[in-house]
This record gives sequence, C-alpha cells and structure tokens, in this order.
Amino acid sequence: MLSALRVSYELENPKEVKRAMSALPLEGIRIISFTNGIAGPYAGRLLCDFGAEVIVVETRKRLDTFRRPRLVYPKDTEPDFDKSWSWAEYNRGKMSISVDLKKEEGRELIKRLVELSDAAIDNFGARVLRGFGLDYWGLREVKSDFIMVSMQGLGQTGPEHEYVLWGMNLMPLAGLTYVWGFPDIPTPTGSGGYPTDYLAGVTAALMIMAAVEYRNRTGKGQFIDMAQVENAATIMESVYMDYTVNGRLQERRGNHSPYAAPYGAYPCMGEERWCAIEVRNDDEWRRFCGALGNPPWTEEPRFATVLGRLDNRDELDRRVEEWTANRTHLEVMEVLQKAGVPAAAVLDGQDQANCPQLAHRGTYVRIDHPKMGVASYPGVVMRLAESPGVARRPALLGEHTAYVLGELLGLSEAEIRHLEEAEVLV
Amino acid sequence: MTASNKRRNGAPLSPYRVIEVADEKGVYCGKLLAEFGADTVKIERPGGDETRSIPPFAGDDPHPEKGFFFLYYNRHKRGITLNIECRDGQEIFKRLVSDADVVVESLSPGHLDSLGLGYSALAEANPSLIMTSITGFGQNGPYRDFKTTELISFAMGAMFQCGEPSRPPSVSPILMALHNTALHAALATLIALRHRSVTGAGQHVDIAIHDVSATSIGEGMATRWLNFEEIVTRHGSQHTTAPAAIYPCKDGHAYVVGGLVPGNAPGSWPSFVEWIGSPEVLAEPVWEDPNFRRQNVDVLNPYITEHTMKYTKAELYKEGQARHFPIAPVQTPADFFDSPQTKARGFFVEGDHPVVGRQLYPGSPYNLAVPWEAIERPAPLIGQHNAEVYCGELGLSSEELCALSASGVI
Amino acid sequence: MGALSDLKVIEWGEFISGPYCGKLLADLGAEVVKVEKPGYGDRSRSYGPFPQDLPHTEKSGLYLYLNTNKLGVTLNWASVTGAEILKELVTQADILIENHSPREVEELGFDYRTLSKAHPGLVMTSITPFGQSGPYHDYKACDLVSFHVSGLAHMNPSGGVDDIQEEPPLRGKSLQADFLAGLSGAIATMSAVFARHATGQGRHVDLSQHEALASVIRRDLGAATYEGLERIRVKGAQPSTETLLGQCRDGQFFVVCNTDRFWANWVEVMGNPEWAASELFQDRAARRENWDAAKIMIEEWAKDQSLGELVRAAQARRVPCMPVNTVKESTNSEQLAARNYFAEVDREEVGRVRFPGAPYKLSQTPWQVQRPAPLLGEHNEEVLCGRLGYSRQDLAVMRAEGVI
Repeated sequence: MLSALRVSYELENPKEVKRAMSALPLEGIRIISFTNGIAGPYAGRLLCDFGAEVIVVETRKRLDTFRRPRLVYPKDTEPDFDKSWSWAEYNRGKMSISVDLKKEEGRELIKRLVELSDAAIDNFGARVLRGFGLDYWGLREVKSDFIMVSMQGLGQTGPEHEYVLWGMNLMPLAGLTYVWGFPDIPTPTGSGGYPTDYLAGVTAALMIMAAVEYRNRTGKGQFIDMAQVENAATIMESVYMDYTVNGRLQERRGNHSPYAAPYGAYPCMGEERWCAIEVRNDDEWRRFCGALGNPPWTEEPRFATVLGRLDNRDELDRRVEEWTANRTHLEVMEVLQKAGVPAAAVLDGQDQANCPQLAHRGTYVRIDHPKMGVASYPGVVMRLAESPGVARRPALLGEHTAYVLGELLGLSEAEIRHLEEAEVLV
Repeated sequence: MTASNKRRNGAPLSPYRVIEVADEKGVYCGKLLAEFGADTVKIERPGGDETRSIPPFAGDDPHPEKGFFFLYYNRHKRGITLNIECRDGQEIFKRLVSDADVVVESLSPGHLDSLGLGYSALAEANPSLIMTSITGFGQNGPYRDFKTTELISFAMGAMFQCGEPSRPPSVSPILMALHNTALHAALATLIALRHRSVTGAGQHVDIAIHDVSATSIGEGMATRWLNFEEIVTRHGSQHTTAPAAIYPCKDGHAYVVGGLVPGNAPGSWPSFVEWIGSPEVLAEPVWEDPNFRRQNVDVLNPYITEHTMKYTKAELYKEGQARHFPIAPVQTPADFFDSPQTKARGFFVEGDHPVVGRQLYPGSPYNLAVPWEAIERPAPLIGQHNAEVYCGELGLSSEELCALSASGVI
Repeated sequence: MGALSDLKVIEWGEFISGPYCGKLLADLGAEVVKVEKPGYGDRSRSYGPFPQDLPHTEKSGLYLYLNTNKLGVTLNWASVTGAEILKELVTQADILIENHSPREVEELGFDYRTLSKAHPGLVMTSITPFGQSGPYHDYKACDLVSFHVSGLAHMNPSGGVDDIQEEPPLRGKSLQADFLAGLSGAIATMSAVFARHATGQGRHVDLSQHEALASVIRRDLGAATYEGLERIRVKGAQPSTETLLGQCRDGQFFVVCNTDRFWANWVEVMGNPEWAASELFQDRAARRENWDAAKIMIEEWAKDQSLGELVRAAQARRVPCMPVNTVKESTNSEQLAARNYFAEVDREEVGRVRFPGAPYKLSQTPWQVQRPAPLLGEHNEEVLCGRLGYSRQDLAVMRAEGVI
C-alpha cells in the first residue's frame, strides 16, 4: 500500500524515513472519509498518520470548502483546487478519490468500497448521506459490522439537527462564546481559530478506535452519532455544573482569575508582545518576587497573600507591567520559569516556528507536494516510542481513484473508462 | 488482560485495567478510558488529591468531596490512596501495575523515574504495559521542566489569535488546552493498545500539551509563518470571510454567517442582501466577492446590525436557518441547558453521589446505535476502594492495611 | 454550661499529647478549636483502631476519643494566609495548646515571645518531648522514647519473669506517656489561667514529656538523688512478694497481703487451711522469705474457686483483692456502669460511638459530651466566615491555594 503513494518523507529527518518503513500500528484499517472543512478531516489525519488508509471521497461538482477557489489559501494563488494549502494541511497523508455521489453508479462504488473497509467518518450536512442511502443504516446493509461516526454540529437527532451550521457557530451554541471575553465589552468574543473542530476531530478518531477494538472482540459494529456542540460542552464542567448544581450563570471575566494573582497576559517590549504569568500560592509569589530582584513594592503586606493580591489586583497588575514592559516576552518567560514561576510568552506564528521546544520535538515537518512543492506542515505529535506515526504528503483531487477502483475494487480498465465517460468519477 | 475484570465484552475497553496517577493534565484521559469500560483505578495521595481543591464547589462549600472538577472528571473510576513517595508505596504501586494494561500519568518528567517507577522499570516486570505520560512540554527538550497550567499552555499554543484587537489576547475560560490534549492522549493509548494486540509489546507514549496545542487548537499559526511569512492575529469574532461575526440582537447576540453558497440560492450573498432589506449600497456587484466584503466589513456591519437588532436570539436563529444561513445564537449556558435540542439529545445525565447527592452532569456527546455496557459510578470518595483493591485484589490483610494507614502509606 | 465555658482555646496539636490536653479542657466546657492540616489532618485519624479494621480518616477510634467536644478547622499554617489566620484565632483566644517542635514553632513566628507581644494575656502551653531548652530540646521523640529516656521503662518488668537481668526494659502499653504529658499539660494550663485572673498577664507553660514521666518514678529518682542509691532491677526486693496474681477457675485475681491483718483475713477467706498456721508464714519476714511456697498453696486453693465469690469474700474482710479484668470485662464493669463512666455519642460516618468518659464528677456543671469529634474541616465556615469575617468566595480561593 505504501508503494501506491508517491511519498516524500520529512526531508530533514532520515530517522523518520527509516521508521516509516516499519509497520505502522493502524495498518490494515481502512476508513472512508465523507468529510469537509476541518473537524472530519482532522479525525482522519490523526488516524492515517499511524497507518490507517483514509480515503477521502471528493467531487469536483461540490468541492470541499477549503478547495473552493474563492476560499483557497493563499488568496492570491490562481484558483486551482489542488493548490489549496489549507486543504493540504488538514488532509495530508490521505488518499483522494473523486466520485459523484449523486450518480447511482457512484454510490454503488462506495458501497463496494465499504465491503472492504472498516469505518467511515461523516461530517457532511445531516441530510446528505442519508439522502444518498449512504448513512450508517444504509451502509450496515452492506457490511453488518461497519463502524461509522457522524459528527454534525448538533448530531443526527433533535429539533435543530438539520440546521445549517459552520464551525464558527458551534462555540456560540455550546455556551462557550458567552463566557469567553472581557466583561466590559458588550459583545462576547469567543476563541479564535477553530478549537471545537479539533476537539470534535480527535473525539471522532477516538470513537473509531474504541469501536474497532469493540468490533474485534465482539464482531459488532457501531454508529456513533456525535454532536460537536455537545463535545465542546463536555469540557465545560465548571460552567455547567455551576449552573445545574448551584444555579449560577457564569459571566465573562477577561484575563482575570478569581483564584490567582498575578494572572493574565502582561505587555512586554515591542508591539503585540505579551507574556502570560500565573502565581497561585505563597511559594510561587516568593519565587516571583525573587525573580524580580525583590523590589520594595513586593514586600507590601497587602501583596503577601493571595486574597490580598486579588483585592489589590489593579495595582498589582500595574506593577507587574512596569517590569514586563522593559523585557521581551521570551525573556520574561525564561526568567520566571527558571525561578519556578508559571509563565509563558504568548507566541505568535513566527515565535512558534522558532520555538526551541517545538523544534526539539520535531513538531513541524517539511513535505513535498506535486503542485505546491515543499512546504511546512504540522507533524505527528502523539509520540509512541515503539510504533511512531509518519506525516505523509497531501493528495491531489482524485489522485487515487485509479488505485482504489483498480487495485482495491478490482475493476477492469474498461469498467473504469465507462465510469469516466458517464461522469461518475468527477 | 486482568483476571479481575468481570465485564469482558460489554464495552470497548472492558478487559483492561488502567492505573491513573494524574492531575488536571491527565484526569480526562482516565475518564475517557473509563467511559469505554476500562477498570480505571485512580491513585490519590493519602488525604486526597489536590484536584479536589479546584473550585467551584457544590453549594460553594470548599469540601474535598464537593469540587465540580473532581466530581466530573473522576466519574466511573475507582479511587485508592497511596503515597508513592515512600518505599512501601512504591512496592505496592509496582504490584498494582504488574497486573495492569495501562498507566496514565502526568507527573513532572523524570519524577516517576526518580521513584524507580518509570516506564523502563515497570516494563521489566510487565513488558506489555502501556504508559501514557502527559506533560506540559514532553519528556525532553529545553522547556521540559517548565511549569504548566492552562494559561501557560494556551498562551503558547493558541492564545495569540484569540480576542479583540483592542485588548490583549484572551485566555480560555475553561481548561481547553489541557483537555484537548487529554483527548489526544486517550487516542494515542488506544493506538498503542492496537499495536500491542498485534505485537504483544507495550510502549511509552509521550504526549506534550505544547505540541498538541500548536498542531490542533492553535494550528495554522506557525505554518502560515513558515510557508507564507504571515502572522495570524486576532479579530474578535470576525472571521476571514464576511458576513461572519457576532452581531447584537434584542436580548443578546448571535453568530451570523452569510454568502457561503454560490449563485442566488438560499444562503448566498444576494439572498442575504435581500433578507436584510436590500440596502442600495450593497447592491453593487463588487460586494459579491467575499474578500472584498471582508476588507470592507466596517461598511457592511451597520446594515447587518440594524437588521439583527430587530430580532431576539431565538427569532434570528429560526428566521436565519429557514433561509439557510448558518446563524446561531450566542447561547448562555442556561440557554444551552434549556434548549429543546439539548434536551432531545439527553445530553445532561443524572448521577448520584454519596455526598452531593443526585446532580446533573454533562454526559457523553454522542449517542450509540449499539449500546456499550457503561460503568456507572460516581467519582470516588477519598480512599473509597482501598479495601476492595488492597485486600480484595492484592491480598493484604486488614491488619496490614491498618499498619499502612498508621504509617502514612495509604 | 460547663465548668470552663468561659475559656476559648486554640489547639494546634498532633496525635495525643496536645489533643488530650485540649480534650480535657473541651470536655469541661471550654471552647476548643482544633487546627489540622488540610487533606491528611491529624495523624491520629490514620492510626486506628477502625471498625472492621478498614482504615478511614473519619473512623479512627483514637481520633474520635481524643477530640470530642471540639470544633475543627483546617489550615496550612506554613502558608502566609494560614499563619495569619492562626494568629488571628490565637489573638481571640485565652489559651493556645501546641505540641510542635520548638524549632518549627519559632520558624513560623509562633513562639511565645512573639505571640504574647500582640496578646499579653495569652496562656500558651507547649508540650514537647524534652521541653523548650536544654541540649535535647530539638530531639524527636515518641511514646516509646519517652518511656525509656525517663527511666520508667527500666523499672519494668517488675515481676513475672525468671531473671530480670535477661529482660530488656519494657514500656507501658497504650501510649500512656503521651497521655500523661497531655494530662500534666492540662493541670499546668489551668494553673496559668488561674494566675492570670489576678494579674491579666498570660504565661508560657513549658511542659516536657520526659519530665512528666520522670515524675511518675519519683520514689526511685528520690532514692537515687537523696540516698545516692540506684534502684537496680532486682527481683525480690520489689513487691512481687506478699502479692499474688492468681488463677481461679473462671478468671484471674490480684491480691495484696502485705500487712498482718490482710494476711489473717485472707487466710479466713481461704477457709483457714492448716498450712497457713505453719511458722513459715507466722509473720511478715517469714512470709516474705517463703512467699514462693505460699503462692503454690494459694494457687492450689484458688484454682477451684469462682472469681466472683472469691473477690466478694475478700472484700467483705477488707482484703485488697480484685479481679484482673480484660479490656472487655472492664468495659462491662458494673462499677463503671453505675458511675456512668462510659459516654456515648452519635457521629457521622460511624454511627454510635462509646468511649471512656471522665474519672471525676462535678457536683455542678457536669462533664458531658456536647458534640462528637469534628469531621476534617467541619467548622471551617463557622469559624473562618462566622468569626473572622471571610466570605465563602475567600474560602474557595483558600482551598484552591491549599490554605484550608
């Protein structure tokens, strides 16, 4: 199977190349990916890094969000769905086949592929696969122990589940946006990026692994109907239990903590440079004062206790800012961490790219791409000592159609040509 | 596989025994494994784990059996007390692990090694053991010994892109970096279990919150720089396309998205313009380009705001969705709890606990077609399963148990 | 209302000597706030005994007994906030009882000199193994060590062995040394309080457990210091003559016959056997010399006797003779029951607990158990919020920080 891909492993790490030649732990698991955007693809990426064969079902007739010319990144590239770096990032390592599911023959192909597969990931709209007869209940007819995870925003049941939702709608629905931001700004902010997509993706991958384990022992498949919004709520216990048990509605509290001071992001030298600092108890306060050289203000009795520092937080923050403003964010972090105080520079992308710890861990890897050339990608960060994963290159749209139809499904050249002419393989 | 497990087939991880010695960096990993049926035994120091002190508390009573964090993340686990810093404790730990499949730990890198309880020591006696170590920065590297909290992890992983441009970057109000990493740790554990099922060999799994965060919740920041020398920065709720941001309603806010669908179909830009009353300015064709809309969002916003302010959150949700716009209310936690969607899915579940009684907890975010036999038990009281584990499974006499208690081992 | 209801005590102590001192005051009605470390609490909680031998920090018999009638709070006194709170509590109290090492106490700034500056009326009782001064004052010790260093163990065993020189020194059972130190501390504390009534000036009570135990062997110490004699461990010179630990058919008894009258009456109890008239036993000197023989004869008679009858007969003739009770028999003693010696109280987690009461009765303000031993941190809110004015949110912060 590995030979079927033109691969170019991490150019700078021959050890990884050698390792890649040994068997990967998820070899033999085949997953069909009915995915779009980030959440579904992220699930597949985590699994294909460890050897699962993840086949993304695409079509030129309805491109993945991140392949669409107008939404392709970078913005000034010529509109070419194979030159979308975003798609490449989320889907590196997988195979891609192009099949029009609107065509009956296309759906038949999928069903035949299901016979040879273990699981599917679905984050299309709730009605899509159902409409094609390719939802779990349809696919189970084909393979009784099939495993499927559907991961729509609100799941597959409930009065709102067919609503149209994008990644940025999920945190607001989960109640997370409401509690994220500054109390004196009327509009809540929420997070940047798409954390809920990644949370959903890793959960989906986890569910598939659990279901495979279960199936191997019992012979039973599984349908996991996951709601991404609920998935976000599962890590909001402090907010929800305060509500269900204490009847309290939590409000936004900005960069303050009710339990620690100093706490927050303190401005450092330069534009948009911040260092996060957190002092939780007497020991860390003593270390913090020591790191600052024990200036007289730190000996004021009102700052000696956590309660005192919380009561005098504004003044405290002002003092801390006076110190951080004259230092770089990395310097503040190093000085404080060396003294045993929790501190971290708020890293921007360039900082992360240059982060010595991430470099040490080999977090970013260089991978080649037939059309885009060599670029940097996130590597494999789950480090299994005996069975490490490998980051492999992104596929061109439909690059593996021939392989899947020919080698896996055993179709003849003539049959494949017929499907091409019938515009099934677009 | 342990002999002591009774429910061998009921759930994915029923045959497995997990020993957890973890703080807030690892408890969720243990919970996930327990939810999949593993017999998960949590080790706390005598007197109770520090995580029992994490607020808030039921009834605002700072009691070690009433902290929400502990109550939630330790459901379905058994709990024992053990001081692994002393020799007796270390011997007992080894005995426990010799019969276990997985150890989940989040102690400082090297600490277990210093106690003679590191992976290589334990694997000698149990070569099929999987140890999943979760730390802030990993088992090695220049930042290995840095102290880790959610604030620290989030700051380095994803914070720069969060918040309002007019304010400092905004920290997560929940333990997002930590629990996201725990999910990855659980996944990695299952991958290691699969490897073991094929080869018979265990291994050491090294999970670092920093690089997990940088490649998931904070993904795209470093690679944008590496590939395009662009810095991803924060824009409040405003997305890279427009309209896609939070707008005010009569009784709160909603996240409003429009124009993602091409042409004139429902969900498209022209239909959005029509919905908001076809303001003349927006009739110009140049607005059909989402990049243009984004660059000129300040012009666009007042028109949208004027429209959204005519509705309540719930009304806007309904009206917007009827027109295929991805619109959703910024729900308060109460809204989410009371929402008919949440209730229909049965997301909140009831649990009974000896001290806090019957309460509602967030449940699983998924429904299953094929029921897995769940272990249903509340978070353990301090030392609740000491007798069961030490006497019942390790064969200690109650006299020995009392001696261990008197000398502070348990 | 108890005899000491006007007194407020802070008990900052561990295990037995400090807490027993606190208990004695609490049981007589003083308000005693017991301060324990968060999480683990007082070590006696882990000591047992436990119901069904299952260790549980709220079910330790030793802890439950020693800490009746007290309020319980948790405080990490090594933290800045914890130390502040402890000082505040002490300032509001009359008495501080503590049994920590002098060095630790001074490092924390809780030494008497520092505390009395802010609170001149404070009575501070420090119970330590060796006192606050002298070359041993920083040494660690426990009950076993105290028994040996005081010389008390050296005097044991005093009988019942063949060659005493072969036997190692033997300590007493049941952690008596610790209890004795606590008891002595209570007496000294009350003296200091009494003295304070006159002048308003507090005191430091410096109690050495070593000395408390040495006081118990004062006769032997006196012999050493006064007569220059050393009481060596000798069999025979000790009262193992003219006394007998004897076996009846249904139990053991102990009888003392070290006067002529006792001996004569005892002979009557035995039914005036012929052998007792022998000149071997005609006076004390003779009896002491021939006690082994007497013992054999008495034991021969006693083995067929019923314990209860034997004791009643002896007591009727005013001979000092009592049954040797096992612990179980002691708890069922009709004498103790008649005096309502044992107390009972209901306690969360355990149910009904029964334990020794007080060995004295006051004609008014009787000794009583007002409340059982506190759960760990049970009165945090009552004391910290109710009396010191902290809010519940403050308590959550303190808990998160590990102060409580």
